[in-house]
Amino acid sequence: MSRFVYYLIISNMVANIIASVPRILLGKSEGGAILTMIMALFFGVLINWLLIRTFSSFPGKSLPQILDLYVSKWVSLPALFTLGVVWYTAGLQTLISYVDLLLRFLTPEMSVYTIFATFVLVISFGMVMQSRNVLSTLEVVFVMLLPLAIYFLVKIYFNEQLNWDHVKVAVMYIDHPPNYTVFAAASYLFVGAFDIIVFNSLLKKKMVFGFKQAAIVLLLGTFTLITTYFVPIGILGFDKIEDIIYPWILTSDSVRMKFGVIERVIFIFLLIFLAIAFLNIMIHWHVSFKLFKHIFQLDKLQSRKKNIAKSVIIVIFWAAALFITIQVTEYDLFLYSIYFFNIMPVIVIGLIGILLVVKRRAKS
Amino acid sequence: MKRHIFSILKPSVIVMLLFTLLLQTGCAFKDIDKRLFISAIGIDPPEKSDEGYKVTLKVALPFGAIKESAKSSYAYLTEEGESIGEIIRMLETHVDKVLEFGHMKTIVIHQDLMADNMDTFMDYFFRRGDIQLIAYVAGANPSAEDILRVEPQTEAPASLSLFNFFGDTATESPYIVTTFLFQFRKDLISDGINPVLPLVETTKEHDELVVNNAIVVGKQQEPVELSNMETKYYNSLFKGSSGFSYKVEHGDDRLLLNISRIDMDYEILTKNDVPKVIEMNVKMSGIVGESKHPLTLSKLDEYNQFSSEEVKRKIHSLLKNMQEKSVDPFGFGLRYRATRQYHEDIYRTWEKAYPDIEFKVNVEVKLQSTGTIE
Repeated sequence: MSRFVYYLIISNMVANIIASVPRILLGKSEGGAILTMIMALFFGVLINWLLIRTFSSFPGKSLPQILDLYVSKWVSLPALFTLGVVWYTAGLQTLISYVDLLLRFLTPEMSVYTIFATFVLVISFGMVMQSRNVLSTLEVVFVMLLPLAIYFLVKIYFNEQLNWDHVKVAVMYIDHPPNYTVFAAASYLFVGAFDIIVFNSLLKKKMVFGFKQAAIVLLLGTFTLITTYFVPIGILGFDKIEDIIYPWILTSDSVRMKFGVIERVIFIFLLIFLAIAFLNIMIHWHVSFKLFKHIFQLDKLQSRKKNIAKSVIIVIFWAAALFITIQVTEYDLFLYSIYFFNIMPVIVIGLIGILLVVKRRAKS
Repeated sequence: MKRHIFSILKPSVIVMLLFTLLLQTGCAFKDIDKRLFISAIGIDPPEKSDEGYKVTLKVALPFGAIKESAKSSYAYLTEEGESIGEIIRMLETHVDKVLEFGHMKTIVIHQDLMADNMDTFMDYFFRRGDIQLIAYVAGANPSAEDILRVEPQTEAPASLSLFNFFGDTATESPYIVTTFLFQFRKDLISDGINPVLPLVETTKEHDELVVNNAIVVGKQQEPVELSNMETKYYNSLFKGSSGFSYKVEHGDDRLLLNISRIDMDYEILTKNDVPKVIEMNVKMSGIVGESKHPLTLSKLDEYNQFSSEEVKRKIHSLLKNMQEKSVDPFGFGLRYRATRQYHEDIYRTWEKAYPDIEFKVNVEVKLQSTGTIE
């Protein structure tokens, strides 16, 4: 498996540590969250396995190219359109969460439009870049920030304020029945690799997903899920943890570096995770952008001999994002995120279904 | 020719975009000299009315250079009202600058306010995003306002004594309990543990701050004050502070032990699903720091023996005392919940059993040496 696929997986996992996933998991802390997470873990590895296996038959081809070859337009266009919308929403969801976060914790006096604009300008730039450059950006940011993120996580695990009694209280709820929304949210952490529906055109080598790769994904997932779920419980306490809107922000605000340059770790934490979330949004929108470009054949859209496809899509992306960001309240965001997570497993299974059919056709 | 126009257009658009940045900064950020940095908040019961609170803010006043000012200068703002948020809004109208809470690091609460539902007024601090969760929380005697107004002689310019007491950044003492805001919230809302706050006191002349007691905040009951010794034992057993002195007496001998390491673990033993016994094992190692009589190295075992007995007695009396006052600062109840499969009555079972639970304490003191002399 190419290292970029790991980057994609990790970036999705890390970006979602902050946004709505932990709240959904912790919301069911007195329900079946733990059992569900274990189920989601195996489901996550399974979908990654199926994805890489099917794509390994088409090295160097993106999903639109594959579908063009083997499936009729009546199937491929609606499918790609759905995927485009889903990926756009995925980016948008993270975007709104982060605009919200900045507004609450980093720059409470700034106007929401300014924050939105700073985000969207940079992201749009990344969106229209070539796919190869997007992947390179991913790598650069990773090399720079992942050590810091790991330092932060180590710091938090060895924090004496992390009360293991609270964690154990949470574990005592392991016998409660699983819950679908928690399952969907937890397995969403694993869909990072699905970005290869576009990026596969750059991955020319045939990918393998054997035991080793499965073990790595399993380990990454286990670590992320355990961290996402148990660390806030250990720091903030088990009781009433479901009342907290951004569990991870409060968690990072509860960690201090006694003799560090900055005592409040939250600012470093926010910056690191902000950068990774930036990447995540950029990647999602890039995928979405490419899909839409393919569907509407926008390469042919010309005005005065200049290609205006990019501008059209960007304007639509911006307008929709701005409208929704301004409209939704925190509660709406939470509710819509739940809807989004709930349909995600269906989309993923549908996509894998199509891929399996295509793979069989390609063989015959 | 057309091409030429485009090549000018692009940079000029960028320049225009850059100019919009000038508009942005103007409204978002107020300059630092337009702000007042709150360094501590004190909360007292009101004097004028029966309900509500009195809030005191300690505001750090900025000065040009540290060298020029011999002493740090503070301003104090006080106001009474029904809720903390309301009072602070009112206080904003008493000053010409923006009140900035990002550097607020200590919340001092009058002892009398710890009796009933603290979460009602602490809610303000938990809810506000810009108040750091690693702020310290402390109790105050005689009143929060008095404590805030103390400006000790050892206070350096551009610093606040109140901060240095806690968090082990400056002084480190087993008598000082540090409680962070997030920790306080955690213990306050969790079943099976009571929060412990340090108690800040002052001398008659109001020129020193003294922190060597602690208060256990009760839930639906009066707070329980810990004595010096109890505070020290609580701190070293449950907060992992060590390197400190323990006085033990045996007949005519009196030793002061400098303990460098303490290991403590305990287990809750049940009989027929009802908790009956808490078995606690404590291991301490250290050296003798002071003695009334000359010591001999060969008798170390004997010293170990009677030190263990003495420490055991003190720990037992601390545990028993807390049990009698029906508070649980150690989190035994939480541990009980953490080691039993969840069922609906789990905490009720514990609450019923706690007053009758028996403590078995085993202490093993290991003295390494008698110090530099025998």
